[in-house]
Amino acid sequence: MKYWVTCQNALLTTLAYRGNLLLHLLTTAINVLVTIFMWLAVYNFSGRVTIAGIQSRQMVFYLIVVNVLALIFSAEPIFKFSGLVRSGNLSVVLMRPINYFVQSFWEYLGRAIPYLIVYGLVTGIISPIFHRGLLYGVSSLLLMAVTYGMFLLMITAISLCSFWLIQVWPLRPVLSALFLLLGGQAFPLQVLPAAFSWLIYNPFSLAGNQLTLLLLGKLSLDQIAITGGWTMLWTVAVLVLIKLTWHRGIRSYEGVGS
Amino acid sequence: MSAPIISINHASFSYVTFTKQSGFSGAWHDLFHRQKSTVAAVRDISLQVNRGEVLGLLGANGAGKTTLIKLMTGILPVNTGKVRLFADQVPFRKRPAFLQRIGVMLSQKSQLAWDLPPLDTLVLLREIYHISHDQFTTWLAFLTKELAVTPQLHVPVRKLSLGQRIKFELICTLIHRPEILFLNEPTIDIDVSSQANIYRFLKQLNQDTQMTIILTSHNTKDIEALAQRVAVINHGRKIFDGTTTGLISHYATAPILEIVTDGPLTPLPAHVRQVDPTHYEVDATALATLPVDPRHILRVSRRNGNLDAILTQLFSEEAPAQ
Repeated sequence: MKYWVTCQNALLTTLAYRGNLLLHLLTTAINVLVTIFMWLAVYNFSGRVTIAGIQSRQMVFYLIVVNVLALIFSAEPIFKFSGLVRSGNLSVVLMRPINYFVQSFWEYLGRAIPYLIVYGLVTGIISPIFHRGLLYGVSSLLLMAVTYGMFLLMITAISLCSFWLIQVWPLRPVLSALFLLLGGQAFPLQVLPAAFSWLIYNPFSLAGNQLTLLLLGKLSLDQIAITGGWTMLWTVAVLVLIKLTWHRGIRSYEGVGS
Repeated sequence: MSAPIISINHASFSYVTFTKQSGFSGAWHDLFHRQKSTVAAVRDISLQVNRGEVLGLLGANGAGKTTLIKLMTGILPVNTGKVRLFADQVPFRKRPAFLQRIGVMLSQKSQLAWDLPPLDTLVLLREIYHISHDQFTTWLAFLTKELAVTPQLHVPVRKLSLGQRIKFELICTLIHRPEILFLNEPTIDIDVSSQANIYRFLKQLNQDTQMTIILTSHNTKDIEALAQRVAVINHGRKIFDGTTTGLISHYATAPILEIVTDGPLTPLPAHVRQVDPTHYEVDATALATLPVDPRHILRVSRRNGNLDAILTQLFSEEAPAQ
């Protein structure tokens, strides 16, 4: 219940700034449109119907879905945690009988709800995954949930470097680039040469490229299982990393300010 | 006699910092040769606090008071020595059962969600501390009435005055009825009437519930109004532990009395030195009575006879070598 109230408060905070909410929705739409026009231009100038087996209509849908996912799978918690460490406000959180990272998840979910409703619902309804039988639908939902958990844990692990770096803003362009290139936000990773096919199992791709393919109905049940296996492997690796770094990090936390 | 609720034995804490040289060449030099130094913030402090006590921690900026609070609450770990609360709880482990029993208010850190009314944060705290709805409603009504902030419960925090925000921070700290309350600069930047309101309320709370209160403040009025006992921290060491009157009598220097009269004294009595036409100083070392007609005295006070003067004298002393 305490985490649900956290989620509720985060949603209320997002709704408190109506202008920001509308602007965010608008700028995301503009971003997607620019990328779509760029790819349509590539199709027109190349004179090809498909690129790496993907038709222009599929590419448009891919780009819409992957950018919606980027709204939900965001690196923002890293910078929030860094702010808490730098200002010493982490002390307030540490004094509560609550798991900060679980709370952070619910808080983030609360902030993402308006965007999830506007974009996610539309994508969910038109996606073919729910028209392929119960097993496929359940497997897809399970993969989405596991991937979201893995992604949040990975972001958490990265955020822990705030204990030592203090200023993590230089990470922002690095993470954006990783999302764009490794996550398939700028182009589907399937367009890369076969020698780089293993890249689709990196955590950014699992959260971006693979989930998008899933929502487009491009993953078979076997592929869903393999993707899920990789996601679980990354989850375990990241959990170990968090356990090790948290204990060291909290000892180096200075709790600056009074 | 029961065991102390807080027990600190020879606790020390130091941290590593670095100095930065000014200018571009300094920044370039620091990039490759950062000058690190170790600061001993708390040195070998021992302190016992009994249940129901109100202890004031006094010290200049950087003396180590806040660090000591952070050691007691588990924000920081001790380097050497031992800190135990409730007999066997190690604060740094931050067990939920331990956190449930303490309340911490750090003056510059806010618990309140900036864009939401205080009630939303308080409802979140109700869930975090597993407070029943009935208890929460009754206790919150009492707290907001006592601190005169009931009408502000539904106003977004960003629209509240500083005093109102501080009162709500205090309510957030008290909402789960902690057994030990840590207050770091609770009345910083708030007006005298709000200060008096907070003093009265905390005193009543301490009497009614036997809540132990650990208080740090630069405002000696806070300490004099609330603390039954004070510990003075200077350069990381505890240099005094006792009552406020004990502190004054321990450190007060030669009995020089400062007298303000309603007019000039003519002739000037023996042992009396004129500072200005109506302001005199009397060396009372060898006197049994005042050598001035009481009918002409407006005010008489002993120099170094108040907490501020004593602390100014104590805090101006040089730091011992590291």
